[in-house]
Formats: sequence, C-alpha cells, structure tokens
Amino acid sequence: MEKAALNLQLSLGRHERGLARSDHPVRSWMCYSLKNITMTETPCPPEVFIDPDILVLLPAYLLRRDADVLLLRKHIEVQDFESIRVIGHKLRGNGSLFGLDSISKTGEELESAAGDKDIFKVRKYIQELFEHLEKIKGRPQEDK
Amino acid sequence: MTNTPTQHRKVLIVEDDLEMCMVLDRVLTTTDQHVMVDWATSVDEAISRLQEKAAQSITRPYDLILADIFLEGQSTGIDLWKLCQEEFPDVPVVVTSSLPLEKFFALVGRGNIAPPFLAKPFQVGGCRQFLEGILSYGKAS
Repeated sequence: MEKAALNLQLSLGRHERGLARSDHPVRSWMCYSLKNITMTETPCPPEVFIDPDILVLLPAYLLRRDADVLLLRKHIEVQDFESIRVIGHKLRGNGSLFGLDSISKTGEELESAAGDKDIFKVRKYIQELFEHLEKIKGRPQEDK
Repeated sequence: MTNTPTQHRKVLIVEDDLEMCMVLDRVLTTTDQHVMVDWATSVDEAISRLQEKAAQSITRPYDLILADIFLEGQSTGIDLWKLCQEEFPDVPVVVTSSLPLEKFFALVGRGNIAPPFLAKPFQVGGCRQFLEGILSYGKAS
C-alpha cells in the first residue's frame, strides 16, 4: 500500500513540470478533487476558494502530501525531529496557497511540536494531517 | 525598455520549496503567456545562471528575479538582491518570505533601501496582481 502510493507520487513527479506547463490536467483527478473539496464540510469548507489557474496543480500536490504522511511516520519511528520540523515548515507555507488553511495550520503545529521534540504532539499532528487529507479527498478515514 | 507583445519575458524563481515554485510558475505563465521561467534553489545557483547569461553578453539576463529570503546554502535572497543592485542594476528583484515586516527590515538594515517584498503566505490573486504590476512596470527597484 505504502509502496504503491510512493510510486505514484514519483511517477507524477517526473512529469509535474510538463503537467504545469502543458495544462494537461489529469482530468479525472481534477474533477474528483474539485467535487470533493467543494462537498467536504470540515476542515475544508465549501467556501474554500482555489484559484482556477492553480487547480491543475492540486492533484499532484495532494499526492505529495500523502507521501509526506508516509515520510513523517518513518521519521517519527526513528525520532528524526529535524526532518519532521522541515516538512511541517513547508506545509505551513504551502497549504494556504491552495486555500487549504487546515494543512498550513497543522504544518505550523507540527513544526512547533517537532522543535520541542514532543513526540506525543508530533504523533497527534501527523494523524491530524492524515485526516485532513482524507477528508479533502472524500475518502473514508482508515488509519492503521 | 518596452517589450513587444511577442517578446518573451524571462523570470528567475529562486526558491527551495517545490510547491511554491510550481505555484509561482503557474501564476506567471497564466498571467503572461510570453513568460519563460527558470528555477534555482539557492543563491549560488542563481548567480551561476546570471553569470551564464552575462557571459553571452546578455545585459538584462532576466526581466524579474523572484527570490525567497531563506534558501539552501548560506546566502539569502537579500544577498542576491544586493549583488544584483551592483552587477545587474537593470534586473528587478522581488524578495519573498514569511518573515514579519519588522524582521525583514531589520535584515535589510534600518535606513537602507529595501527590495520589493512579497509576504508569504499569499493569495494567488494578490500575487498575480503584484507580479503583473512589476512586469508591466518593467523595473521594480
């Protein structure tokens, strides 16, 4: 399961520049994401506005965040707080670019908790990130 | 210098966050279809690109440089702006950061001229307006 998700992320990564440039939208993904984002209540309410020009980037963005969750879980196993802090910092900066303030907020909390090396809070915010992503995509939450 | 509609504008994005790069790229290329975007993830890489263009006797290597302040490596976007002020004065440089304004001014040096500043996080619409203004004016600093 984890391997499949990572492979998909890497496969998209190779083409992401072309994706952005050629306006190739991966249409089913885009419609899927748009439909679910507008329908989801919390933490991504219907009034969340995503600029149409960057909507095309959203599917790949969400896949990379899925990969972040996998990475974060690996980092917490070995208590690599610095790597967790860096991921949290980037989430803080880029979530709101897509109108996903909940991702930014969780990123900020994660950055702070990792800075404090608070393993309990770090675990909590990794789970929170996972749940935000599942809600955004409209998938049932089934954490391991 | 006035650009004709068919002339490509060259923009260098200096940013180490992939997501930010992709959004800025997208905003620029949808704002103006004649924009060509180069990326660098550090000031050193940005300087190499500027030097490559200078070696080809290109006097204005970019129409805009958009640089994050804190990047990979020791040098900051402020250092890049200072270097451009001396070596490439025709190239406008905009710095971006999530730093609070007072810290940004402290970093530049109180009483000194500061580069145009795009605060993060930004809304795409606001960013587009800002960049449109800079590109249409042609020179930001």
